[in-house]
Amino acid sequence: MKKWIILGIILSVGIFLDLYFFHSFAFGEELPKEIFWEVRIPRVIVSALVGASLSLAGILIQGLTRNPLSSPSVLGINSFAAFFVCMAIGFGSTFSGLGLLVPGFLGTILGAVSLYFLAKILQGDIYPERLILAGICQGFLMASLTNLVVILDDSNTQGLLFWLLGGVDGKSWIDVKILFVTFFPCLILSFLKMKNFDVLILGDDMAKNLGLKPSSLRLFGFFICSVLVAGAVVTCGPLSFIGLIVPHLAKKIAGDSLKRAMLFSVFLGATLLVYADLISRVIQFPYETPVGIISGVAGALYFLMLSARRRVYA
Amino acid sequence: MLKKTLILLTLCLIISVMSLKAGVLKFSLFNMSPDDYLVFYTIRLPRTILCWLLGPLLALSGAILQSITKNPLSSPDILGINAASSLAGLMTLVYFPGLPYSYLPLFTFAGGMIAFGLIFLLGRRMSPVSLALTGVAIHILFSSITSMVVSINSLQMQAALSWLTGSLWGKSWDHVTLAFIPTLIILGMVLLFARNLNLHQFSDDTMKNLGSRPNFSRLFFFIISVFCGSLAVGLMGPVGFVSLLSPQAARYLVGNDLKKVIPIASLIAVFWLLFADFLGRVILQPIEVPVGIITSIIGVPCFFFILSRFKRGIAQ
Repeated sequence: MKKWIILGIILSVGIFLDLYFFHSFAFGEELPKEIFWEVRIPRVIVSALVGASLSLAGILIQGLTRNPLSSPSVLGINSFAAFFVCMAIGFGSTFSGLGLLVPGFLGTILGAVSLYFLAKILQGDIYPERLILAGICQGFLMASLTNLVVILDDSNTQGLLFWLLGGVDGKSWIDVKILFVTFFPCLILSFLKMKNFDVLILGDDMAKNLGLKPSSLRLFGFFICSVLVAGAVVTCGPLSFIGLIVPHLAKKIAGDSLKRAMLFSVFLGATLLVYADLISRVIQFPYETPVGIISGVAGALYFLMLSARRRVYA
Repeated sequence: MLKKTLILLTLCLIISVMSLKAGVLKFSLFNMSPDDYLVFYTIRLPRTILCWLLGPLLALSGAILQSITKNPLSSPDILGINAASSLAGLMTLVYFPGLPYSYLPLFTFAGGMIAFGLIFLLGRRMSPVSLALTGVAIHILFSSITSMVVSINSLQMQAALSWLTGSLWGKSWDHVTLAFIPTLIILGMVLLFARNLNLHQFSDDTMKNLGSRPNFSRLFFFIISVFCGSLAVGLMGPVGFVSLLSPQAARYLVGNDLKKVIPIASLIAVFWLLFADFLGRVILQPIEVPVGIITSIIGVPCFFFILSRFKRGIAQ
């Protein structure tokens, strides 16, 4: 209980700072109401919800693949979504707002399906590093295809590049709406199935013995993850590594089972991204550094640490 | 061996002629007007020759790394050496814009050595797949720092992007002269020491018994390999998967003797570069697709295939 209270306090302080602090201290004047309602509030909500979505997707995907190194970005699912959304924006289509979810979701689903086939070819969970390598490489492939789209689309290169770095600046109520549609249903669904997912972590045989169907359960889990990641990528671009770090932290603090760690990781993810947004506005004031860069560098360091420590398998 | 070499050589020559003819301006090679000749001599010819020089560099750096780490999955791009070199190159381009172009390989070499140091510290006694994973993590770390540098200096973003995808666009005779001597020297040197390099497939004790100093020779070849990779990055930006896959293909064709593997791998890399360059100029004319994008589109499925042959981290 104590952890929850501390986390709650930290989160609310972060939201408060994100909303007020900066403006009044920097310019010493009242914040206009329009800016507060049209810029600040949606921005905070979007950062909290994106952090929460990615962390939930991360903790689910780590359970489903039974692999502590996996996360939507490491397995390349993020990059698939980014490629499809880039195509939709770049080739001047009519997608906008909620409609962008269509290419985003198509991308994440395709990423998950291709991952599934790769896992089949590589014979899955025997050797976890191979799946991670395959995931990273399918991410590389999608990233270079995305580069191609950016190069081909001369009119909007700068915009697309900034979107690809991942950021929460300039978000409006439409983005909040997108995230509401994707996040809350998935949260509820994953709560309903939480116990089943928890059993799946113990192994497919154990799940079968307890009367569950592992393959259909896994399919369901990947579906939830795809929706969550699609929402996050469509609004904020491919933010990497949030889905890797937050579940690890949450499991360390709250305990290993999904029952203990899932909700905690949702709130922790929200907190982390709100603070990352705060930092991204401070370091280069008055310019903004995209959040994706901060989370990317920090996450890459963490990932390097994790993978270098796994020499047990040598 | 001779037959395979000849076949590969003919393939390379055919694709060279095709790539000399490919482009927006069409002309016959035997009957050129002065304008055509200008395009041919200042744009197309150096580009094709550069492919012939960079192919061996890439193949060498991959083949050496694979044999000294005893790991078929290692290559400068997988181990993050390319990413570090290109970060160093990008930072030189952004922060010292006045520096002559010929200094760039020095800086990329320095960057590559940093990544080499990291690999050396972290990757000792790792199984092949774990080493590859650590290398990829280093790659991701350096490329995220790269995107940080790019976003801070967003004015030069377009130029930086075209360099970072690895492109042969706008290469001139200057690049060819820069690449020519180092490539020949290194290729000759490595072929001369190929016997010593071959010994790396044995354990360190066996190497000592055969009169070789394993640690010294490993360091020596590692530095040569980083130098080859960085020189290629300095000249055309990071081009992925060529140095990983061409030695693999060569080993499949001629076995494990590096004296045979290195020439064949070089020819395969040359062919692959020329082909990717040709394809990039032809498919979306008049827009040019950078070589790096094409090589990774071809390379990733091949990488999956190789990865699928590893069971429990050991090649089968």
